[in-house]
Amino acid sequence: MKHEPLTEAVYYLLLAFKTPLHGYGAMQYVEEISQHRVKLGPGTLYGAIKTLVGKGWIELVPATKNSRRKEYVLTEIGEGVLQAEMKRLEELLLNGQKIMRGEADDH
Amino acid sequence: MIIKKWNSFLFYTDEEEWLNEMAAKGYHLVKYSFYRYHFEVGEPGKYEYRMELLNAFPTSPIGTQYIDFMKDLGVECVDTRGRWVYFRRLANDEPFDIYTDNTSKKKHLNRVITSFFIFALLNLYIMISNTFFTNEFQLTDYIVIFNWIVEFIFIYIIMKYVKMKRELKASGQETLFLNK
Repeated sequence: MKHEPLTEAVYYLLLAFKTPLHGYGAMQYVEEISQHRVKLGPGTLYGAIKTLVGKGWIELVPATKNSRRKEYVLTEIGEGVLQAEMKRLEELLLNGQKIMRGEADDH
Repeated sequence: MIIKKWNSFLFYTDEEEWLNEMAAKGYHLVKYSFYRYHFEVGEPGKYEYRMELLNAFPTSPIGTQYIDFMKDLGVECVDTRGRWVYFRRLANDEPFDIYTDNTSKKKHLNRVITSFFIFALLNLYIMISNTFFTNEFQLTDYIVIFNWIVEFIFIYIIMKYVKMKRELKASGQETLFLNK
């Protein structure tokens, strides 16, 4: 399955849900891991979580269904999306490094 | 101590600005009832206010779910007016923005535009029916004039919001999902 590139916000958000986490935790995680570069407003975060659940990339932790603090966790599909994105990013990085070091002579 | 002030605004952005000016002076909105704003006197600049038009009524399941989510993030729903919500958060170094991506900001403005568009259509319907169908009383002539004025105000409001949408500054986050 071919995946569209992710934005940094969604990439980090998916990483945040590697272990079950609630919205507030996810917002802080994204901000910290990106060294305060990526910020998510509460409304934007709400929409993002709804979209990610809709895509089946994360799911509600059933035990927190009736709790006010709902937790979400990465699904298998979501993990696949992350893996594919990491592969894409790795390719970008490796190609960049190779060319900037002058190793590639085939162009 | 509570002080009350009458006020009305054409644009929610102006209303928001006024509420934040009041908050900076130590007047924190705690209640809204029919153009009357109730302020609690307190520490100047303690809160920052934002308004949002929800896509559902605040008391509906979708609305309460959203308001609960916001509460968990430290954003308090102070009061509601129809589908509008007055939110506030303790002020800190970061600006208080409900939306950080332009796609969501545009969606919100579209919601505002649609709501005024519906009012404008309703008003137009009343205007047309007054013009053509019930002309036996002179009173309807005056109502029609009033309808015209109201219609122009609505059109002005809608045009201003459309302009706001076009002038949204390019932010770091244009959109969260590229394939949408």
